Amino acid sequence: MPASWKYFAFRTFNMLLVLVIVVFILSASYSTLAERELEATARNQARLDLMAQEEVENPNEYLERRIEYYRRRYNLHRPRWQRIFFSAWDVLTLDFGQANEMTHRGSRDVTTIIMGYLPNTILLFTTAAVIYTALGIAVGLKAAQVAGSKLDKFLSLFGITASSMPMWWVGMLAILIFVYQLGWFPRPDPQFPRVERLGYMGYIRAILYKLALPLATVVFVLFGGRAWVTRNLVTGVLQDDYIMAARAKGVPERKVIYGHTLKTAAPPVVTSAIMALLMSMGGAMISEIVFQWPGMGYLLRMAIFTYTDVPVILGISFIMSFLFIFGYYLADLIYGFLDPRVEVGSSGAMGGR
Amino acid sequence: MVHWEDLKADTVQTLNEFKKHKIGLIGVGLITFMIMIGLLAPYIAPGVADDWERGHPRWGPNPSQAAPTFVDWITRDDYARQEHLQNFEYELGERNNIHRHTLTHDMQADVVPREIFYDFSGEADSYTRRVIEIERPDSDELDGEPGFRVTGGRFVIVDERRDEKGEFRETITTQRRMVIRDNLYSQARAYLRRQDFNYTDPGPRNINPVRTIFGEANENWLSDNPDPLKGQYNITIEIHAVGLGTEEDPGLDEANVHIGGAVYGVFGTDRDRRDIFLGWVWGARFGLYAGGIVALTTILFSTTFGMTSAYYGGWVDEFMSRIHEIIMGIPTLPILIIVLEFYSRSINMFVLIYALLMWRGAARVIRARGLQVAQDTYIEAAESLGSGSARIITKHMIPQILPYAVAQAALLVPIVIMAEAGLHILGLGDPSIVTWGTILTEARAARAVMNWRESWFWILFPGVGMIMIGFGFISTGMALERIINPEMQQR
Repeated sequence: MPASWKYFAFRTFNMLLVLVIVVFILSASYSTLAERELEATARNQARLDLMAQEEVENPNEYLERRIEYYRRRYNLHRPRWQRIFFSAWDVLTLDFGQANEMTHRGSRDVTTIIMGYLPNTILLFTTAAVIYTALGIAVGLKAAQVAGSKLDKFLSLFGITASSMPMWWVGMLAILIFVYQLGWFPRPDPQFPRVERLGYMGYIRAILYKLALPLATVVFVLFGGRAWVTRNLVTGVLQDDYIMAARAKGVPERKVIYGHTLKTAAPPVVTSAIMALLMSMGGAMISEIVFQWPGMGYLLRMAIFTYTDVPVILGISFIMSFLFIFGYYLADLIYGFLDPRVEVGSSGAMGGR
Repeated sequence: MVHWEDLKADTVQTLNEFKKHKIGLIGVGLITFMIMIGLLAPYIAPGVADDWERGHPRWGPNPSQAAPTFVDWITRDDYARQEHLQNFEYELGERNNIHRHTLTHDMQADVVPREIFYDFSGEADSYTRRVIEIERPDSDELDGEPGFRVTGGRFVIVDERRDEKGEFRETITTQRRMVIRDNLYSQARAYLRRQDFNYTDPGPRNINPVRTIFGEANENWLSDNPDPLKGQYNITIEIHAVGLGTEEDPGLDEANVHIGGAVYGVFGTDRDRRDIFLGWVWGARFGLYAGGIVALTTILFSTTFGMTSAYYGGWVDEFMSRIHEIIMGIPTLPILIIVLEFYSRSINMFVLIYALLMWRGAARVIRARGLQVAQDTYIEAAESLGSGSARIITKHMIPQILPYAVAQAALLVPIVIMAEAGLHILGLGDPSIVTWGTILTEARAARAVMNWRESWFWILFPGVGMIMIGFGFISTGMALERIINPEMQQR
């Protein structure tokens, strides 16, 4: 299928181009901040060096020399555009470099730091994404079958209401009720249980116990909207002429829904599920703070507020952008695969579905 | 210019269609209600945005963390109301040194007041001690006990104070002073011991002073929730001071007693005594301000961008699509946080960033719809008749596109409001205003989540505000989308 190959190549090239440009924009946006922080670090380091010296003939001159040394070491003597370019290039080659101050288990490597937090986000938000997507599609289908019924109306109300609640606010309420009032779940605590202390089974039990409330909250907030969107997609298809024709022919209702309808409604449902799964890895910053969950958002907050550590901020921003751009790309490919009507080229770009 | 006749006809038709969507109508009702609240905020709660700070005198005599007044209507219990006691009796003691206020309070509530406030000010040569004596309805029974020293029905709280000259102003509340708590505790416990009650001793730190004052003297007296003792309370407050006031007019300049209500206001009060409803009203105003501006700029930007892309097509469309993908790829959160943290925390800065970024989702929908419209035959006809592109876009395309842009923008409003509230949790909210995020952040900082009974309203209502606005805009936007395009599919 040459057309498919052309499409694939076009989308891939496009995705990479967009990624490169976005990374340059990110690198440029953070450059002022990075410069400010590095200048301050250089001065501090030089001052520490001066204090460490026993006797210095000319302290001011020594200080100047040390500052100059550190500025060179941090590449501050180069013009800004060069620094923007090199930091963007490093990120694009997946070399996130060393953090200025932050550490994770003694390592200052940004990749190591991020890898220390990413699994926690995946544990909570990606698990939640799997659950609420599956649940949402199942309930949405059921509601579409009985469109106009009590279940359907309730789902609409619930979907809209849940979509207008901030997840972290629901989290606060959940903690208020289920942790402190009823005492069913443990208090939010960024410390995770340790395998060494609890043994394998104990560890899993402790993790599940800790995970239950945040997970339930995320699923509760996001599931309604997903079910409702699925339901709308399916009911939209159910009104199509060929479904009417199939029904008129006497095709059983089950087959109409799971055979004909699902085939047409599948592309948007599948692509949105993929986007949800990928985007979940970026975490949800404020919910992570409310639940004291040490994931990506928690890390980003530390990187910005506690340390102002630009390499870490840039690394996290890159991952968030990458997840989005890649998800978008993947969704487009799958869409093209599932829906043969998609044209090659411009139509894929902003895609109006 | 836009072809107003067409636009008007379309609008009327859409409105007629709209009436069939029940959820959409509820949404419009909610939006109207919230906009009214927002617009009327300066009249409902004048000056609150400026006074929303800890310890502002405006909130002075309010109770702390009192439940909303409607709790009193829906439960069977009778909740004590906020009262400003004015039936004072003032008496000047020997040598003008003791100033005694006597007042009575008839406590008939099932849920006792949250506080007793006494605040006074004056000028004296020296000001040494305060004695507060509370005579309870059960005085007579209790006083009959042999060896019952000062209390029984009577609590005496003596609070020493270093000699101080000159002006003084002080607020004594039952809840804040350790000496009051300790005094009440030891007196109540002494009585319970003598009477051989089977009580559990929570220790002086864990009693609630005002509940002990208004509590029935039984085994529950020192518990978290003693039974209320209804009846008349006589409160005597003595200020010992030498040379208080002037010779012609001896006495305190001012003295006020408030009984803090167990319920207060529409949505209750927070820990710093602020009326949550008054702040909530301003939260609606600022939320709608931010959401409204972003929605308007979204309509403008997304229509301009999407229409240009769709109308010109070809390489223009291709180029603009690339630009659009790039803008889509920029992560909002880190950029937003960095700008707010290191440049400005003003709400206008937040609105600016969101206005610059949020139109991108809508632009996609507009372009897709624009492509369909541009292919419609009458556009071709207009072109062949020699209409200029500006004329075709404004006259033929925009009236068809506008409802889509409006629907997309409506869906954006709750997102903006939630984001603004979330920024407060991060400490990045505008400190000079009060929004729902401000209130929730204060609740979080005060660890309100740890006590359901005392703070559910503090956490609940700001979120309810967000749900009301969110529900309003989402259901309206959805109804609008269904009307203008019944078969619309979304990704």
